[in-house]
Amino acid sequence: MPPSLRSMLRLVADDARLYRRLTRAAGGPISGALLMFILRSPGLWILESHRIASYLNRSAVKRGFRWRLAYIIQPIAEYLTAIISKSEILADCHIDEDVYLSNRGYIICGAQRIGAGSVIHDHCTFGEAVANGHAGRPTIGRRVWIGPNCILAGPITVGEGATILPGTFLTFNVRAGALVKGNPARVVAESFDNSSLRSSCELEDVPDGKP
Amino acid sequence: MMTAFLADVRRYSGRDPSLRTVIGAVARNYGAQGLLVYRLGRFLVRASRDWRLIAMASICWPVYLPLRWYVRYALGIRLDLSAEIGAGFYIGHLGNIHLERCTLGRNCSIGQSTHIMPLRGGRGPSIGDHVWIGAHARIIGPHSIGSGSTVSAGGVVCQDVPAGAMCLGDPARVVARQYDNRRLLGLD
Repeated sequence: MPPSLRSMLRLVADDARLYRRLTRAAGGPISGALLMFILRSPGLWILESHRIASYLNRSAVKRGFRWRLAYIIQPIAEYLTAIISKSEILADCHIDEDVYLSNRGYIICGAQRIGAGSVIHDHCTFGEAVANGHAGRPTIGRRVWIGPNCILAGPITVGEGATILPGTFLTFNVRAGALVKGNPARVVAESFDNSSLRSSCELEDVPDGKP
Repeated sequence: MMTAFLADVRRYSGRDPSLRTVIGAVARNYGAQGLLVYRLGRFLVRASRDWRLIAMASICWPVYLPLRWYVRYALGIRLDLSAEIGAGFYIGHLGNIHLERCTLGRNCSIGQSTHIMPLRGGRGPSIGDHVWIGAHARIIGPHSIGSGSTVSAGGVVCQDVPAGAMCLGDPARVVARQYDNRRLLGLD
């Protein structure tokens, strides 16, 4: 289904709402706090830059004022994303709604699809494995939690609700609900509930208190 | 400087460098921008020691320093001038790349988030020709990596790697003695 501009804007609004919920940012619906929050969330910028690129990539009608505007904005947004948060996302990667990308950046994403409700942390790489003819890109299911410094390589599928702990180098399929860690990766638990991990993404807004 | 950089551009564009391919490679690839600035810096270090070129070098240093700042902090590619990088180098993406006091041969490739440096003041790694180093690899310490070997993505090299071998894991262990990495390097 080719996307319309309206559906893209709806995704953008959903993203902003999700980021505010997850980072527990204060402020009303339209306020200076909202503007400050958007300016302070580079992860949101990565996502919105990708939404524009994805809209350009998938839209069937390649003309009109709005399309041209997006066509001009997209490379600028991509460049700013690269230099501010050192992140690159392939334009044909399909990112569903409610996906959280870390504000700390360094995300090189070449996945085929990232399912709804997933949380991706910083310094992650999802890419093609070029060795031995295993070419292909990873598919990440819904409600997956991926920790910092993870690498997912090859034509693999990560099942729904799986948890990938920090520093994992994953090259095989993961069943739904599994817990994976290590370099090279191994499955350490078959069923693990990651809902609390996903709801407390980053501790940036926790005030510096005494221990 | 120019021959080494043209060899780098050949790795990026896959064809013989003309003015058009050089501009295209530098405009499209952040890695090529980092390499251009690194090669310029190495050239200026050599030119500063030559009395005939000192005047030119002193004009070029103020141009070079902001470019180095841009590459280091905006692109996250830190190619220290103490690293000796052979011709035909390829940097995959951008971000968190740190090369310092190491020796790399010809036609090597690295990915993003790669660290190749000495362990606190010691001798740095020495890496041969045609070595493919994946993303997030760490080669820290006085290890030598033989020509034609492959360090997988995420590999943390803690020992010497023989020529033509492939190692992976943390800590990295050799999983294949004979591994053909020409396809990885794109040098068929």
